[in-house]
Amino acid sequence: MATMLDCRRVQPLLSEYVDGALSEETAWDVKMHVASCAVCQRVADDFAGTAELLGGLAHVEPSANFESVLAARLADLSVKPHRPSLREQVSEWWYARGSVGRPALASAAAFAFVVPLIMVTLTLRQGAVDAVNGTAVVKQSNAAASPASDAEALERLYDDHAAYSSSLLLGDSSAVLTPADSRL
Amino acid sequence: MNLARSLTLTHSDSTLIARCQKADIAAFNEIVARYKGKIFNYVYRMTGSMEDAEDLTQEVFVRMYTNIGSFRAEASLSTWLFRIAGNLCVDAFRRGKKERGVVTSLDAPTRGDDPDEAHGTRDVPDWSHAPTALLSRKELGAEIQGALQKLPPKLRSAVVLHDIEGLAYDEIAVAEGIPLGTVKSRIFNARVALREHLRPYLES
Repeated sequence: MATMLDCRRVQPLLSEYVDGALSEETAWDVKMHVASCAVCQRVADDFAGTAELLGGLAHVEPSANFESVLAARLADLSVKPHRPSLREQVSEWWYARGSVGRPALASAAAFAFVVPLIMVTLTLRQGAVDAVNGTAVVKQSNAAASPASDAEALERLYDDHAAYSSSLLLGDSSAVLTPADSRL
Repeated sequence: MNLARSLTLTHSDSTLIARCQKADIAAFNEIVARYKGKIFNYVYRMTGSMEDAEDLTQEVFVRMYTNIGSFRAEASLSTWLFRIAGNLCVDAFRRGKKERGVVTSLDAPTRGDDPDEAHGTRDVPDWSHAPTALLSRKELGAEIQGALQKLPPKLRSAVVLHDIEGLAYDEIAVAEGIPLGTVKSRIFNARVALREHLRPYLES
């Protein structure tokens, strides 16, 4: 049943009208009004005109090497999750030096081992002194207890970072799609 | 060979996704081939920059690849990709504001590789009083892109998805994660603004 609508009620519907998105009955009502109103006819024509201008824009395409660049990015991505262990890294590095540099490196490694050992010893001794003085410094001595715990801490940091990055990647898509989907 | 190619072309999105979820790189490449043009075109119309569009479209497919396991079959793949692309555009606009301290987001000066030539809002000659008949297709394209850049990103996205990418209102609602009524009002408001910016080309 068609009813005459005034401009105030018709104009908000004109965008949907030109898209053919109104119900059959409402579209008929709008059509009747537009046929008798030059102003609304003009607005409807303009809306249709803007849609036509946008629809007529040239379609742009990505560059010819889009796929190869993407493949390279994904290759980098697939390499990152594999983290060689500390032993693997040291082993690879050691054998990559060749026999020439090994003696010097061995000296450096020995030095690098001795310095932390001295520091740990000093820390433990200080801890013992503090304990004697009634001061609890358990956390401090634990933190510097051994290079192994440092490596573990680094591992945890790396894992935390990886989990954080992963949650960022996962945060924008399907989880939000589902409720929006169910609303429709 | 031709038969194999035609069979490949008829693979549905859901089949490709299922294969992609099993780390089938050929399926992933097929999805890229199928959607890179649409996504690139959308991102370009959002940012107005070929360079940004290239980079952001790459990122869309990287994210699709890394998150394909969480994709739910009830959603359309294209809608999902448009959603990722839209979010990336918004992020880029925010970064642009922070870095440049301006409000025009990625409405950066145009580049020489632009298909619409010198479009945009800054380096564009004022053609606003030139009749459409006197403008080349590229010049008109530049004017329309310039008008799009003047819209707030939310309105721009809705009208680009509808009038350029051909999405229906309900598909835009899913892609943008907004109610259907909001889609309608955004497209309406976008057209009201575009009607003002493009008036000379609507009259002729």
